[in-house]
Amino acid sequence: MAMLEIRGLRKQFGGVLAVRDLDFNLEESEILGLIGPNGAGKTTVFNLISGFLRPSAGEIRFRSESLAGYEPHQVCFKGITRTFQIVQPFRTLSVLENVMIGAFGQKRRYRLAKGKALEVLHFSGLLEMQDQEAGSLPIASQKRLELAKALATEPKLLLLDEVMAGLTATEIAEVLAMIRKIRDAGITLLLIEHVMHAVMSVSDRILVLHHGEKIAEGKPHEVAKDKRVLDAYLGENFMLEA
Amino acid sequence: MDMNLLVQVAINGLLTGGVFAIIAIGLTLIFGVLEIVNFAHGEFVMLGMYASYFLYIFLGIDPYLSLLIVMPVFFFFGMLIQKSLIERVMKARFHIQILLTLGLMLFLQNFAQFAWSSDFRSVKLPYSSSVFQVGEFIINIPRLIACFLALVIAGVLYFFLKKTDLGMAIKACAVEKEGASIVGINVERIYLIAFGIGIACAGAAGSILLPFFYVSPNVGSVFVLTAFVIVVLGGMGNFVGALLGGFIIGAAEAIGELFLPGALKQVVSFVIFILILFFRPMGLLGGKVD
Amino acid sequence: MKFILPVLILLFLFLLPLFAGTYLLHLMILIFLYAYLGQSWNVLGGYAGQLSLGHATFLGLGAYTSTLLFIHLGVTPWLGMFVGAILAALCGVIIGFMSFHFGLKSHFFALATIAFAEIFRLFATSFQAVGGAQGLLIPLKGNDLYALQFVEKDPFYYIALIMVILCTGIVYLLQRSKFGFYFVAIRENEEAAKALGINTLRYKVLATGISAFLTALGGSFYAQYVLYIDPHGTFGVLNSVDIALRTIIGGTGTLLGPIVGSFVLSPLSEMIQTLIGVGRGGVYMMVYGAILMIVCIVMPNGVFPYIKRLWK
Repeated sequence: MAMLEIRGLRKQFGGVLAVRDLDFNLEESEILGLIGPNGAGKTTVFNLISGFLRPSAGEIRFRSESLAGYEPHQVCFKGITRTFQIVQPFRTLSVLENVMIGAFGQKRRYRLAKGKALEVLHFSGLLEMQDQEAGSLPIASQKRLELAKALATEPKLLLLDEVMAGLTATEIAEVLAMIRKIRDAGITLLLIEHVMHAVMSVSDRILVLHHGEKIAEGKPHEVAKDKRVLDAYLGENFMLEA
Repeated sequence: MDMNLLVQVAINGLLTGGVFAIIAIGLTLIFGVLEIVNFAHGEFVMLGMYASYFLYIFLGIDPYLSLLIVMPVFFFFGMLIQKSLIERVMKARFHIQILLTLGLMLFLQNFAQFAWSSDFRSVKLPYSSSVFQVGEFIINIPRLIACFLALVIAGVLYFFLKKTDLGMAIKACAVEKEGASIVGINVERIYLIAFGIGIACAGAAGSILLPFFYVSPNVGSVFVLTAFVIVVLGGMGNFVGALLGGFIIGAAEAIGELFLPGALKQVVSFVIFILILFFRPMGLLGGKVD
Repeated sequence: MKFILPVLILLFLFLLPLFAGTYLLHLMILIFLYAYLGQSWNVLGGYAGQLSLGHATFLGLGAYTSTLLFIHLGVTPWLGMFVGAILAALCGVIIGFMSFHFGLKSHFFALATIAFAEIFRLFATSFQAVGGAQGLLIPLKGNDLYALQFVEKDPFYYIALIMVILCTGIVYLLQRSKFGFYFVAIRENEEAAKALGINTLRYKVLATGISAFLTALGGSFYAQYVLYIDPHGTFGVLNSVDIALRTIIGGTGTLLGPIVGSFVLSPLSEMIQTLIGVGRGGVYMMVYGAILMIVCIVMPNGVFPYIKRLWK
């Protein structure tokens, strides 16, 4: 049984069909990359899985349990935590406090939450910045903070939304290393990414969305050669390289 | 329950409601464009009443005519307030914006008390008690004129907002500030004008209310809360909504007065207020929601 | 080292009644009361970030409950105040739940809280059973611990001081607890908070309930201190503003904000009142309003950031 099962997922906004009849499985400890041209509906899928949006139709099952009707915080309790494409730090709080808020999800006491937060900060390489105001961090650090907050909730499935956008090559390499470590720690990952070489290199499988529909699914090198995928991206001038 | 009495009361309520609508229109314009909750709005109505009162007492000018003086003066007065006070907190958190308008409310209300004491005043015009009859029902002439003038002002404003360049610029700012400034609209100037118009409406309402409402420094508080209910009922920033809301609340309060003793009649407005906030915060006709 | 100054200040405050006159004690009691009320408000308005302009609801519920229980059933206000507080907390939870369930935020929430307070005020004015517009006079008992009445101001002074200290202590513990962190998270970024597992509705309602409970206790104290309550003096909008004001000026969401705000504003308003005199009606409030506006324009982040800078 797969960790995440999506069946017939649909989302309609007025006259626009943002996600259409989406079917896929996500296996435990897998890294699945979700790619597609802008407007393909990727973030909508995240919103649907994490409870921020209600599906118009279809099923989302996490570890055999249906997530229908769950509020975002309940989805988080179940073990799925998502990050946001546009980082959402708690601006006036320190980096440490930001991560502690995530940690309190699993730890009730201040000391335990702080301990967990420090651990996560160490893992994410943010330990030296722990007392800095979150809003004052450079963008790369804010993206790490976004990731750290999510990690602190001890998720079983992590949804990362364009965590590498706007980063330099070195920063990307660092994030990729972190992602691999996260998977090694037993967490399953679903990534939305536009930075092609990065997502291709780290993902076990790739899923391609276009106009809300799945147009390809498979190993990175297979998908990179798929004609439909190349056509979809042609208008975007993308180079798909594994 | 005597149906005639009910209808009579409803008619009075509707007529008064027309004037409330003008107060609400000013308030909704300010909220729609500047996104400021102007707690001091009622005080400008009060000041309008005093202005017309003194114009009548000292210069014998009929309150309805004094509109022609009060409106332009209050327009500039409004712009002055906007420039000197409101503009300085436009970028602050809304806690501070609300506190500022509350401070202004306290200042103006007590200024009036200091200057003119808390004595109730009223004017008695030759036609204050004039009525005419439509079937079984009596219509009080000043109230009718008041409602009529309110509708005229509303109509002129509506036309202005819809048809003139300036009016459309104002609407643009209300809907999308950044977009408006990108297109070259001077947003700060629009704020000035919108606030000025809002205050002019408040002042006008004061003049119109004078013939059949008492004047005192505290009347502002009475009007402002009712005005908020109307604004939310009609939809924050929705012009026609404020008009419609004015009539509904006017009638509702008047009818409420029949059934509820004394102070409780206002509970009707507040209950409606809360219900709207809960179930239809965009108001009956749709307006801004956070 | 950092602790010496606060300890000295506290020591000074505890010893003050020994050499202070009645007027100064009265002033201090007001400062403490407003600091206490402001701190109670701070839980919802400062930490959870939901601006309430209707806290008079809870003040009034506390004042009226303990007073009515005393007058009609002879219940000691020491007990009555907790009954009032529980009642207020219940109302707070209901008001909070309804408001937040329907997604009210910022301006709209503030307006709703005003509406609720006004409804209570109108009901209190309309029913003679609770005193109507004339209000309620608490029967004088002289020095009576059971009735929470004292002839001298000193006992009230100490009660008020202890209330501020306890309340601040509660908020301090809250700050360091899961609740406190969650409140702040909701204030800073509600969507992000949800994504991290925070049931924002539940915590907002909780904040309202806690804030209401604490405020009501202050209301009971107020009733016992002035021995007369009426709808306007308890449920009136101005009371809500006064409660929120100290904290907003001192700095919302900070531990010392309400205290700083109260120490700044209360003496200020007393000074103005003395200088100008309440006689020529309205001048005092005029100046109050003017100062309010000036503070908003000059110090939009409250007084606290300035003080923090001075401290450094």
